[in-house]
Amino acid sequence: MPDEPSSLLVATRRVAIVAGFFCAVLGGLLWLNSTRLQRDDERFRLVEAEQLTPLKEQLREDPTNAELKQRIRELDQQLRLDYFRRESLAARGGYVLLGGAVFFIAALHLGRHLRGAREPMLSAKPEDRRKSAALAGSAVGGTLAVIIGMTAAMVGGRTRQWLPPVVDEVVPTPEVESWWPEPEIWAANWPRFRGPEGSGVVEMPGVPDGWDGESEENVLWKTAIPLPGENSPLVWDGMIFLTGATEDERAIYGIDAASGEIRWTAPVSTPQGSRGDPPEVMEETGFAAPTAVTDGRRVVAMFANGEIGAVTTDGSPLWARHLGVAKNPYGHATSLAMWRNLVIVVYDRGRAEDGLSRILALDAATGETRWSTDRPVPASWVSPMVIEHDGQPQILTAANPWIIAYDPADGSELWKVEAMSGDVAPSPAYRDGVAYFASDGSCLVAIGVDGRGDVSNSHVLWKRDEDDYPDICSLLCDGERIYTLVFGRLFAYDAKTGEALWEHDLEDDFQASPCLVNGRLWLLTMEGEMIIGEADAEGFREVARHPLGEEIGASPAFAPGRVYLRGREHLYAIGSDED
Amino acid sequence: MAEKDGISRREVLSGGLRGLGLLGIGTATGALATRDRSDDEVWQIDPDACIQCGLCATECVLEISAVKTVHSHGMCGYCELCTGYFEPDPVNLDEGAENQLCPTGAIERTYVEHPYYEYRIIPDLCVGCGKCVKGCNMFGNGSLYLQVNPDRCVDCNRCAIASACPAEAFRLVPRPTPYLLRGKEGT
Amino acid sequence: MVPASQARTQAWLDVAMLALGLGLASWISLRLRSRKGLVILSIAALAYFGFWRRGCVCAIGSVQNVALGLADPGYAVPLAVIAFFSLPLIVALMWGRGFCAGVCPHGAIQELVLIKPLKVPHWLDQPLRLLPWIYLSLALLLATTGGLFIICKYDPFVGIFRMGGPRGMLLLGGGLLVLSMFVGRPYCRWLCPFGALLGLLSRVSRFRPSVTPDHCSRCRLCESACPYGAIHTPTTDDSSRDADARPRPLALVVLIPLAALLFGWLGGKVGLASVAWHPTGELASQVAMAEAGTLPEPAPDEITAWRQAGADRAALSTAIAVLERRSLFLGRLFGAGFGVAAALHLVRVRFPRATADYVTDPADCVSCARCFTACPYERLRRGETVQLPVEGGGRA
Repeated sequence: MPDEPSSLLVATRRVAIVAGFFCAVLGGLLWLNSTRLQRDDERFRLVEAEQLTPLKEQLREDPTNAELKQRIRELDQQLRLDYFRRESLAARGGYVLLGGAVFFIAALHLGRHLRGAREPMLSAKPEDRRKSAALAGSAVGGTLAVIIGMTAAMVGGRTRQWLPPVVDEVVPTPEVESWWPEPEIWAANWPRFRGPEGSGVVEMPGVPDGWDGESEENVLWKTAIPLPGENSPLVWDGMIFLTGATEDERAIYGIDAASGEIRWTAPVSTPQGSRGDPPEVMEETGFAAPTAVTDGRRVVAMFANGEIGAVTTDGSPLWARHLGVAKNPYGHATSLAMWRNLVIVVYDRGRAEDGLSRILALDAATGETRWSTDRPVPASWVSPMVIEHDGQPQILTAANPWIIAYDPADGSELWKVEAMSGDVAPSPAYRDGVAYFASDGSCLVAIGVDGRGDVSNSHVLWKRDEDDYPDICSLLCDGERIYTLVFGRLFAYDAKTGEALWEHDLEDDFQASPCLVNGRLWLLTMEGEMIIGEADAEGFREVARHPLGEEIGASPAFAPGRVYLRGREHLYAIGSDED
Repeated sequence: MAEKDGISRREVLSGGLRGLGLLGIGTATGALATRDRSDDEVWQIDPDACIQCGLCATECVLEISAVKTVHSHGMCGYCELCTGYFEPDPVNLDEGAENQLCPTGAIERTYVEHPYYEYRIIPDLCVGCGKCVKGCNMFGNGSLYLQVNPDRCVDCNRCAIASACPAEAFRLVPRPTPYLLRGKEGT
Repeated sequence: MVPASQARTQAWLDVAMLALGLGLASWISLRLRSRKGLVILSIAALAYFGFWRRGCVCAIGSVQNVALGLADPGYAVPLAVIAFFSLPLIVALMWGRGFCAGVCPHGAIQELVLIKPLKVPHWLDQPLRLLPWIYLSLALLLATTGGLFIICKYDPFVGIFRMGGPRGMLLLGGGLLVLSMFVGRPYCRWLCPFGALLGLLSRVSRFRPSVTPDHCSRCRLCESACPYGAIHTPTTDDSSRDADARPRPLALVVLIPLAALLFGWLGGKVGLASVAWHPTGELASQVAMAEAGTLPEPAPDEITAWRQAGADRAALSTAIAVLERRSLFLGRLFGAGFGVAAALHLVRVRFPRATADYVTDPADCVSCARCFTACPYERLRRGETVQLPVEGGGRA
């Protein structure tokens, strides 16, 4: 081998040095470039880049400053150009770097090849196989020991305390507390949405027959409710209960029926409920649409954020729980029901395939889940109704597409019918073994409640799907006819056959559910006007209209000699002074 | 012990193990290959699960993410004040850079008739940050949403964004129908 | 978008290229004995599987899909991935690690940049070869319990093939490549989980390369040419041949069950601990923190997403319980698997098989064919003029 390296070898070396240097410099540059690209602000929050945000703030204060606008636009364009320039630099630079690396490696290989074959390494002492095996064996064994030690040290002391404890476990109790207010006491009060039976049908003595909200004629008192809510008032033994909520506050109110004074305010709050993001609700629904329920001992109320809380009738808190975030496009609005000591909660959420919907029974005293049954339905707005037929209590529910009746003792399904579609909101009507359901864009259906299992083909007495049905207002049944309120018009159908009898245009908007009080229809418009009328097989005859002068979304509540109306801001007690 | 025996015994043993190995690989392969499969699958975002955290823009193995915003025109309300297009509290309802939410100017806004405007995504400029999607979900109906662009996706064995997605919104879908679209149209 | 048929054609083309590559690699290394051929094949593989197909689909990652497929009956492994998993293994059982030699782009890129190999001493090389088994066991555990594919996530070279990626990945890949210029195939030897499997199967392969075509003069040229420490000095004298390997069966019988039990137990612990790295486990611990009020505001995206999805505590608790049971079982299983592999490795290193000539260790040899070009008798066979070394020069 000559002492002087050949000119080719020299050239190769130079190529290697240049290529290596080139790669190092380019690699460094690309690295710097990527540092800039990876800065969050650069990568996808371009506009918020430090320089731009203050300018935008400035512009908000001085919105007509054309020069400032121009500066923002120029800077914005500059930043965007820079961003995409850097992106393309990164992309192209990579290929150039690869090319450089190929040259570098190829030159190094060529250089080694030109320098000739390596000298055989015969001078070095060959390894002693036994010694080397013993040494390597010990090293492998030692490494394994180290692995065992390190792994044991890393995972040995770990406990499982980071796991959340199970909270929603069903606490089974074989016996259901049988305390239940005397039927006549129950019937004399207004313990839930749409009255004692949840039907809107009631016999109530001494109901006032005329008032005017503006002139305060027959208005006993009027009390402003601090927090807004679309839920209806409850009446029990001289007290009125209702709830209100905003995005971050929730409360139950106890109001003295005699004076209208707010006796107590019970805030409802759970850590999960207040920490989570507030639910998305429609303005018309609000955060306190579900009507509360009371059994004369406790008041239980639910809110749009998934919180449910209970207080005694004198306002001392009992328990509060969070049942999970309501995934509901309009806001959770299903009212509560009660059966014996169980609070019935229909909590339908999200889409059917999300598997979030369920019906639960909570112990009114403790809030513990007594049973919980999954429901194969998306979010719905129908309030459950508890009825009894042939000694079998039933909870009637409806959602898309299933109408399901549950046994309130254990939550098992009694019967179901596939009938509804779309957003299902109107609460059902029930009379003499027949339940009636309807929903806008879907149908009006009458179902015999004595079936078991899927009775879609056996117990549907009649079904209509040709006309308009209510989107919000509940159904009303007087035993002979079904009444529906659809976009300002009152419809009547024959309860036995489903035959359409008549329709009457009231030329008003309705959100409150209709009531049948002492045989007369009471229809509350959104303007706050109460339309009272008589209906028979032939048609509707308007008897009176009583204005309130305040908008109303909630349904009315009745007590002997009294009507309670919850306007957008005030609670009104209507009655004559003589009482 | 004769050397010949030793060698042959070793060969028998190694042959046996080899057979065992082949059997094992064959069984596993057979069990997996005969399994019901819809088709070849690709990664896609379930728009209903997406929370617009912004990781789609940064976690993709590509320099500019394969995730981009798509727009369901059938669902769009053509709002004049589109909260997916405008910054919160915009100074003016015009196309000035000072009013736009999109960091790369990837949304085109055109006048239709009063008070309706059409919004179009320019895919080349969209970096998949999801700001407009978040804005649209806030007040709109979610007609803007993020989707993996199958043209750009390099079909990683395990999608890097899927691994990082806090909402676990990524799913495998059959390649012939690679989108999880909203609305009725299949644009 | 890519039409379905085209995508499937692409997948089958990949499988065909894989089969072709495996065949060529085996043929070149065992029959043709051509280093040049393997280098050309490596460049082609790097270009196709690496830069053109951007490193995906890959046999190394496929072990995760296959494991997940076996553990989860609901997961369908794509046929191409099954092929990428099984073909190299079958080839290894028959002809050794041809996959590493000329098909795997990861092997190829390291092989091609190897300029000046430094010898890694046997006592350092062999313990490091335990790492791939740890990596494999952990990857299988995480893949089967949570669909977390760490082999893909921490792959060092795929960022280079794609000309971009997370900076950590690029830095790791660049660093490994610089190291590969002086140390032969660091990833293949000390990290690659698939290489560990291939090495294990190669130990019983049907056909093996022999360094010399006919006669070994123990000149040690092949040993010094091997950058991967796969060629060892033959045992000193013929009488001790059996003596060195005699404790082998006993050691295997004792060590394998012992290691399987010990590491199985340890694996169960690791399995339980791994729940914390699982997305569901991570969420559960964040939920626990949120409830304890110790979670920093603003809440992480995971919590936001969970709350938005309904914040179902009961379902989360159930999921964690199921995950724990599964992780415990799979942790024990893969721990025991690691124990068996470690015991086999230890016995192989401690009690090497007696050999009279210089031969390759089938587990460590990646069939790079360097030894052929170094062997004087092989060069003689090819008709080159060589100065034959002194007989027995390489004997201790």
